[in-house]
Amino acid sequence: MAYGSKGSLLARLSGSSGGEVDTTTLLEAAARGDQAAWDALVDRYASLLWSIARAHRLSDADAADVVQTTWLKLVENFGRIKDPERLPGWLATTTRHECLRQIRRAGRERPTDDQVWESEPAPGAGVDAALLLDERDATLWRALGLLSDQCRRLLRVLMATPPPSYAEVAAALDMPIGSIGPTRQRCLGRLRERAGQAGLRTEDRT
Amino acid sequence: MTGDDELMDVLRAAAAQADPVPDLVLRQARAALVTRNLDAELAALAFDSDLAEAGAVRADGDDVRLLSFESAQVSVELQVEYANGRVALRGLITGATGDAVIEVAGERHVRPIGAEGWFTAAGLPRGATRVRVTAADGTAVTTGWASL
Repeated sequence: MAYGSKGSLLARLSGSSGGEVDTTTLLEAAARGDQAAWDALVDRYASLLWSIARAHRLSDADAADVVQTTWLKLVENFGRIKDPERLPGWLATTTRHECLRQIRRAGRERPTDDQVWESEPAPGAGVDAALLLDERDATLWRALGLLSDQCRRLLRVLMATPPPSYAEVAAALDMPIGSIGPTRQRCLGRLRERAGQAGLRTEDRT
Repeated sequence: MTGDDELMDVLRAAAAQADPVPDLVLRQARAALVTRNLDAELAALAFDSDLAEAGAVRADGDDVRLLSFESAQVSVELQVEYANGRVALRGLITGATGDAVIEVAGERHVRPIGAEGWFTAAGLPRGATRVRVTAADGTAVTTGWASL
């Protein structure tokens, strides 16, 4: 798993409180060069950033570029983040902008006869379904790929670990925050329909 | 799996299994802290044709991306072309002489800045890129990161 517990590291960072260290504290420590604090920030938001890139249907290589550029820009802008509590929103917005740039850049690629730039399959939901052990999960994963772009994109961002706040999702997809709840409900309904057509009864507790 | 929250939990677990953050991406992210630049002046992105043209129809053959970075002392203009999965740069520097150091994907490429302020670099890998130069008064100036 990508999200190993930081164990003693976070315990040390959080001092006697034992709770999760707040983002502001981590950001300030990282800006002073504290690698443990930076690692904790990366662990906290890596899945959100990756999920946003995947929601934009970027390939492995392009998603990796987008995520890394976002982290580098955070390091570059340490002293300029005015409101550290808004860091997740800043990360989500920056990732979205980088995704849009990446999509545009892909249109500039000039393939030649001797070496055509390998066109990796876009990682739509379904591509990796075989990796899933559970048949029910695989059916749901494939059903995701049958949804509208809006639904697939929203659900993919919501699938980040830990679950993103609606403010983060709004920044990631440039959606009004008030529309996320109703859209989520509608999209999960569609997903149930699609999965049901594929023989999965999602109302069962199996 | 009756409620939306429960279904979302199942989907989240499925994503963690089928499409986790690759280890390489995590390792690169943790290593990004070393790019912290305390001494250099930042030349911020002032123009990116990929953003300026967003939504506009591009003419055929218009495959050069233009970026411009500016600090108080230095400006860096980049013409970027993509071919064969590699990046070719042509840069125009104002306010600095000597070498242009291009950082991309953990690599450093040093190119001399010509008399007219131009430098070129071809065959670069794709990815987050920045250019470092030394201003006339000796100040190190680094462009912001741009994904090329």
